Amino acid sequence: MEEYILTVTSLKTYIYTYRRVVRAVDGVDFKIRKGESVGIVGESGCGKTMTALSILRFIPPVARILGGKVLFEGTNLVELPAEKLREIRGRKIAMVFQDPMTYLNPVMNIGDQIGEALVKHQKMSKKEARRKAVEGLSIVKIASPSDVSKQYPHQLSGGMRQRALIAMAISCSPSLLIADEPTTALDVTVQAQIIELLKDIKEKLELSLLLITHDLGIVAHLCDRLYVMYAGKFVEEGDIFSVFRQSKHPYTSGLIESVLYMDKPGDMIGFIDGSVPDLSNTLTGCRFHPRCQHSMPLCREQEPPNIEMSANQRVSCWLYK
Amino acid sequence: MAEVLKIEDVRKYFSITKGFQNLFQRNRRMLHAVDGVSFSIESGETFGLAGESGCGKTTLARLICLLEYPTSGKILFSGEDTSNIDKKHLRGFYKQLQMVFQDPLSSLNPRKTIEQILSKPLSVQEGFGRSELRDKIMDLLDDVDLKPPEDYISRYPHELSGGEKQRVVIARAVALRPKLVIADEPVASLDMSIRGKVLNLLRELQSRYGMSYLLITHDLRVLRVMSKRIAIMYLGKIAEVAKAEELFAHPCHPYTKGMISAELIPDPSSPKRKKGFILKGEVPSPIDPPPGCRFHTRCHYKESRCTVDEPRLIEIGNQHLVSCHFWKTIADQPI
Repeated sequence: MEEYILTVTSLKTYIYTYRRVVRAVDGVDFKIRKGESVGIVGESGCGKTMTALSILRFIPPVARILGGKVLFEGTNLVELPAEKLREIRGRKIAMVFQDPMTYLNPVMNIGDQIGEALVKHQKMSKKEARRKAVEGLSIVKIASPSDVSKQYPHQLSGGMRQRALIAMAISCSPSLLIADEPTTALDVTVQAQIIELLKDIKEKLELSLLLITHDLGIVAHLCDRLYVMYAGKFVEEGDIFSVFRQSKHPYTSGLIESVLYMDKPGDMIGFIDGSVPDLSNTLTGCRFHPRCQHSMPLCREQEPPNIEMSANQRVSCWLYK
Repeated sequence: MAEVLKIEDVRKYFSITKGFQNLFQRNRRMLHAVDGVSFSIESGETFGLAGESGCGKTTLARLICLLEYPTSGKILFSGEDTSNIDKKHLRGFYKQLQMVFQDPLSSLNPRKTIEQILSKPLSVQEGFGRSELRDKIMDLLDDVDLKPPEDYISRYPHELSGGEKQRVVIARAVALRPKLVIADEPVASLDMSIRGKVLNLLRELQSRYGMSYLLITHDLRVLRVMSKRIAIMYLGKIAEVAKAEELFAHPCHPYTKGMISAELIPDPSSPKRKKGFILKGEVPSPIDPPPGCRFHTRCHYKESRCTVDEPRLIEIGNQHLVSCHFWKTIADQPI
């Protein structure tokens, strides 16, 4: 039997604004095996970040988790009291975010910031935590780590900040790392370095990785399996080889077709017509049907079932019923 | 073919010593945003300009649009030196040159309807009357595939999706049939699935109206499908210029190679999934750029000569220009 480190079942997170309810995450199921890297891919506003935040209940005050389970090593994080959850945050599940500057304290030096978690979680002395922090900085391949540990975030470049954030995330040797668009704010050449670093760390520390991104290229390089998210729901899931080679859902195929390649410039560039639906409206049937080329009357009325295509691939689409 | 735009050894330095100190300090510290760039754009072609953030590509666009004035060098638009254009004649200049920026929301006035936004250039520049204007705007919206136009004409920018907003910006830019459109990261803020729509539209409008484009982006894949010739910029200088096919088939500058190999191919069986050729470090500050070749701090092929002797941009045949001492050996290395 395969062991799952994280099992999420029918998770629902809605955002309550002044007048509307945004169904950001509307019943998603996913699993992550030990040591596996899983990607969640989707466009902006599809709910992928809310999914990631819901795992550790890092959701903003206007949002609420309405239902579902997040089982992590046997405990349901949705119902866990706040103090218990705090023991898991940072220690067993760590997160890396898109914009490192926002998540670093500008008035605290890098070494102390990394060490803070160690002092809290592992009851280390400050001195020991500092030494560990320097060690962490060298794991993320920062040159002259002891100098950098005395510097402040504004003195570092974008790539260095992201490395520092990763060092912080892995400082307590967590078993699951959640990375939300970790390279979107970086230049392409630096992005390549960070992706390589994540791959390295994952192998070295035997981490499981949940990667949230809009970039199919990153998923292809870093993940074993992926979930494709559209308008609050997963439309397709599977191992990367099946999904990239034989995508089943029209949305996935559309995404893969809109990728630009450097070696084959086509006459027409692929795209999906229309735009993402407003998640505060009541959506009936398949959420993709207004943009779908294969839309049938049934698609408008009923939500598609989740169909198993093969051992490694599932899709939610009426085309395969 | 006629040249729409010719740039000759253009430099733009910004002083970073502020206020009072300026008066006394003899050696003011300068940020070298654009440092001796030359290229030309032929009529009807798409010229791509690529580089990482801070390489000076947007400053260059601002110089061409006369939003900034160069420290030295010449910018010729249709053979005319733009530094001679009188403030009073700017209006005529902007009839021939238009811009599309990255963030469509900030380039559209939130308090004006689409009709008002699109009628402005037409009434100011062409002096159209009200009834003609309406027809013109309908045609424009039709051109950029916002159909049916009646649905869009009275909406406000916030009522449109990102892709639709960018299409309104494009409609405004092409309304006057300019000779050159400068597009600075036109699709960077858009989702993948609609990026293609905007790019196809730009190509279609070009073939219909024969405009030239200067397409500025950090995304080489966008340039590959859009442009005829591409220039790669690094720290205010041009590293390499070539035709698109040539540049991707035979990149000669180590930076170009690094950029190409940094692109993650969305194919799980790609050989690069194992290990790619990755550039080390990050772009140095343009305030005190490294001496010699500006790229030497990140270059895998660096030799002692590179730290003192600055390479010139030389032609190596087939309209391919490169600024590297060792391009011959580097060109043969696999990516």
